[in-house]
Amino acid sequence: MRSVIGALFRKSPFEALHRHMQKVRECCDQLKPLMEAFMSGDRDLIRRKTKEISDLEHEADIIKNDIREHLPHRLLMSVDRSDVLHFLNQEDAVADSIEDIARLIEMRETNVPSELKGELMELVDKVMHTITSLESATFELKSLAQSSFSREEEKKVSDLIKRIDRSEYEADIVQQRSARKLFSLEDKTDLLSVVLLMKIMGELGSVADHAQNTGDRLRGIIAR
Amino acid sequence: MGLESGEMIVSPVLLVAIFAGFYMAVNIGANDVANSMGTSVASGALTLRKAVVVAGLCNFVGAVLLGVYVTDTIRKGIINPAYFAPNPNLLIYGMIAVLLGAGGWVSIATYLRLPVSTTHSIVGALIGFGLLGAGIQGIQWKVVGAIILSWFISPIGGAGISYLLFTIIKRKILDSPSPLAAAKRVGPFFVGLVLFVIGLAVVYGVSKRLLGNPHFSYVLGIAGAIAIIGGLASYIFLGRYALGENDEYEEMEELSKPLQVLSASYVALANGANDVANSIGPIAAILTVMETQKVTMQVPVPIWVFGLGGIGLVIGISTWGYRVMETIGRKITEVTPTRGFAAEFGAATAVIVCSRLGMPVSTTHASVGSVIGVGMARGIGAINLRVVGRIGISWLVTLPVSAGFTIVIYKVLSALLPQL
Repeated sequence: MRSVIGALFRKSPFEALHRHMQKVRECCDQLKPLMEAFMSGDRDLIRRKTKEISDLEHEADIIKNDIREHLPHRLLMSVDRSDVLHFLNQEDAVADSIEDIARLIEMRETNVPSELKGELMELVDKVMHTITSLESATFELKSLAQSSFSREEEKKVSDLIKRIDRSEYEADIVQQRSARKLFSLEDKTDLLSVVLLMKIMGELGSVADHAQNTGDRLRGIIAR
Repeated sequence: MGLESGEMIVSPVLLVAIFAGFYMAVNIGANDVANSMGTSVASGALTLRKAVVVAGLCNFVGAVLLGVYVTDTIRKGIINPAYFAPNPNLLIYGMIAVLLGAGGWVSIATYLRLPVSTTHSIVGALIGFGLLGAGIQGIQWKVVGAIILSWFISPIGGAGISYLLFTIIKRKILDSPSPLAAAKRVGPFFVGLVLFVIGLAVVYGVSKRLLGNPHFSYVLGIAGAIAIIGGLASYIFLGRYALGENDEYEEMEELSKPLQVLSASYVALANGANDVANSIGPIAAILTVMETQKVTMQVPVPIWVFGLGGIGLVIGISTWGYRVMETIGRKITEVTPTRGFAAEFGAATAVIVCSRLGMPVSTTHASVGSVIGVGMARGIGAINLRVVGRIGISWLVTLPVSAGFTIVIYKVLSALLPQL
């Protein structure tokens, strides 16, 4: 390398992390349309949405691998390397869970009991809250780096992460309520549908969980 | 014998020496400018053209005003000239071998795209020639020991200063609720600081040249006055300025650009003061021997020799140096003026202190250390520490290879040329 200083600087991961979050968000944006298609029983739309989600999840994977490949051990960063990698894992798990939900919906023509539809949409909304809160928190990474992790910025991100925690808690409550509602309908619903609907609600809860875990990892990144 | 025949044989030799030394100076200018001022171009504080102008000017000034200390070490501090008293011409041939050997190694390393320190090359060359020409006792090992120590201390010292400086910037400006307002309050102090050290260096150098011995209190006074005036001026100027960028951090960084221009000037000054010796030190030794027919080196080096080195630096900077800085500007995208200022200030201070102490150090290594110092204060996104390993290997290779080249060339010269 002709210029030593040129070789000294490496691209920081923040811009790529931003892109990964955007991709995960795009994936999550398909959740509500997917659930609506599920509830209306539109098999064609379900198939299309599943393919879109799958493609977006794959694109997120590519970004994730790219980040991992450019984080060698000998890098001195303003954040901890393993914190970043764990953060990335959890963030990617969000997209993975969305894809799992799509597959569960697509693999069988399941009828959603009309009494459950309200709870289910509420659960989806709460899960989307966790995602939008996570997005806001993650997008602050750039300002964090710009300010060299100033106290002001750290507090701002900390507050945003607390919002994720709160949304996840609320999602948990709705998930419980939905499960109870489903069991109250068990006499009217076939066993396989109950099993599948439970799995789908469980995966929705997982999305919120992964979002919260990601936020937790973000706390670790900031603190160092 | 005497002067006449000596002059006839030695004058073409002097020309060769001047050519070789000039070639070294061009190489030094080309190599070092990008590593010391690259951050200024990358952060946008200086355009490529302005960077070359600033670098050329300040390197030249540093070379002429302050180059004398390290030059004396190179010409008489490493090799004990007394050992050549019976045969002064051997010293002349040796110094030519030093220039050609070091210059040869620098050229090859540059061609192979390896990082190379011109300072280490010259010191290695001198040790090589000294051992061969005068044996182990011919080398002043205390000086060599001090020099090698300074090779460790200068990057570490630069790192420490930059770490400290950036931590202050972080606490006083970046951490505050309104970084922009804080920058307008605190910025003038930094301006004053840089102007003080630059003023100190320049006034000291000028008064040493004009008056012989500068009165330190008088130098301090003038530098202090420049610092205060500059600080006040920047305070007034900042107070009125509003750029209207959306992001407060971006606006604060924009306002910090002039500060980095000052630190870039500072580092270029330090660079000239330290590196010019690598090219003209041996020339100076040859000149002294030719003029006095003695090896005692009491005569001061004439100022035109420094000017020659300075011009070589300027040429190197404005040709290859320009090209290397161009690639750096595109390669490094994440440096901001505040970070660059902290790094350049640390490196410049380490180098200029070593220059005053007569210690030849690598400005590139000091710059690398300073950038790492800022990185440790969480100022930079990602730094590739493998570079440090590569630099270490380059150290270990340069000293013996440069010494080896020099020894071979010296043997050839002393076999081919008549010994008076």
